[in-house]
Order: sequence, then structure tokens, then C-alpha cells
Amino acid sequence: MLSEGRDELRKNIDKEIAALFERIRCLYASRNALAPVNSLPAEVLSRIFLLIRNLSSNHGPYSMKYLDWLQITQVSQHWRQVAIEYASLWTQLPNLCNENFLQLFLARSRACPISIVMHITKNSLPPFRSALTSLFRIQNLQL
Amino acid sequence: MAAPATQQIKIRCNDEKEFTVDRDVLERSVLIKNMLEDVTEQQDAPIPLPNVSGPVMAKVLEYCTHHRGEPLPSADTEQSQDETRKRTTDISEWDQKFITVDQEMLFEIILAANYLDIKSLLDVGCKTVANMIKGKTPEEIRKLFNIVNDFTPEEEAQIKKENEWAEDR
Repeated sequence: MLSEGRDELRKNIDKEIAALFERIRCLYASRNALAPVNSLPAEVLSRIFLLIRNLSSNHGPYSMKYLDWLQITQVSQHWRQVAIEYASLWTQLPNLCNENFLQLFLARSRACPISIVMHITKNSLPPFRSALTSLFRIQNLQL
Repeated sequence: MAAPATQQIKIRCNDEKEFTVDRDVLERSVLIKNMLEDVTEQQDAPIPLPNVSGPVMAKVLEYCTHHRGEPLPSADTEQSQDETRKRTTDISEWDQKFITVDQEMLFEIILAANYLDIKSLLDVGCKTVANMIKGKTPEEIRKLFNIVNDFTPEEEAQIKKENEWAEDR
């Protein structure tokens, strides 16, 4: 009985802590909204993101730096939302062996034409098959 | 023979600051160009620009005056410029010097260029910000722009997962 009472109390405290963390997170988000960079409308921020992605793309699909631009999706909630909602940003599919990652690009690029450069190995066959499910969208394919 | 007098246009910013500017300079702004084309009679009242302050407009006019006479991008040139723009963030020396301002002014200039529809200035602003960001980690970007990590634990977990997927090559 005593132990049950303690569990209940602990649960309530944990709930309260979680609510406080969420409140702090919301305050962080409100603070971020005041930053001059976040006064830019989503379409302008997206334009900047596209420039950054294209700079990364210049390194070529086999370079580790090809995906450097993804850093912009890890800055803040607002930046991540803007990046995820901007389908054109996700149209250059990386040369990867991970199917989940490829699916992520396919989903986020929505109906936009896509470009695929893939080095075919035994491991890259499953993601390649995934990519072929969007065959009608493939504008550029290099194997 | 004397050169024909250039038409002067008056504009009024949101802080009541007024500027009298040569029409060809102002027409770098597609928004103002369209406004002027819609007005058939000579108008003495200043054109109100409710989204731009005096100090920002002064900078914008400095840019427009320097680039006066240059051809405005047509739909075709814009498309081919978009292709070039995709791969480079190079900025001319004058533009670079012009856009070397504090962050607050930089974003105000970008907002004004977007509102006034001055594509080349918007381009310079966006390239400048892209150059500030490139090669930086999320933490360095946050520090640069005075923002903080506001992700939920679920978003953090998703980001971690995506990073692992990206490493899987």
C-alpha cells in the first residue's frame, strides 16, 4: 500500500516536471520568434535553405559533405518546419544504403520531380527499389 | 540640347520619412514600377510604403541608385539566373560592401527587397545569409542568430534517428 502511494506521488511529480519542461520549451520558442532572422517569411527562409542545399550538392553525391545542408533542419523547431514543408529542398536523393532515409526524402519531396544518383551495390538495392516506386517523378537518374 | 528632365517621385515610409527619387531608380522595385504604371496622371502625393522604415529605405535607395540602368530580370533571364544561382553564392565586391551591415539591418533589407519586389537585392541578401550559415553546426548557427534549441524530446529523437540513417552509407 505504501509503495503504491509512493508510485502515485512519483508519477504526479514526473507529470509536473514534464509540464514544466514543456513550458520552458514554449518560452524558448517564443524567444526564438524575436530573433531578427526569424522575421523572414517562410518563402524567403526556404530560398536561403535552397542556396545552402545547392552549395552542399556542389560536393557531389558521393561526398560526405553532400548532406551538410541537413544541419539547417536541426537548428530550431521553426527552421525544421520550414525545411520539411519545402518540398523542393528534398528533391536530390542522396546516394545512400538506408531505405528509411530514402523514404524520408521521397515523402518530403512530395510530388516534385526528383533527381537520383546511386552507386548500385548489394546494399543499395532495397533503397533503389524504393526509389523506383516514384518512377514517374524521376527527372534525372544516374547509376 | 539639354537632356530631358528625369521625373521625380516622392515616397513616404512608415516613420513618415519622405524621399524624392528619380523614377528610373525607384523602378528597380517591381512593386513601385507597377504602381507608377497604374497611375495615369501626374501625382503629387507621396507613394506610401507602410512596410519600410526611413533608414532601411535609404539603404535600399543606395542599392537602386548604384544599379540604375541595369536591365531588370525578365521571366527568361530569371529562369537561367535561377539555374546559376543554385550553384553559387558569389556576390560582387560592391554588393558585398553594401550588405556588410549589422544583422538587424541585413534582415530588414531582405524584408524590404521582398516587399518591394527587388529580385537582385533579395538575391544578394539571401546569398549573404547562406554564406553566414554554410559549414556551421546547428549550435554555431544558433549562436550566430541568437536562437536556442526548442525541440521537443520526440523531435530530438527523430533528428538522432535521421543522423544515424544519414551515416548509413
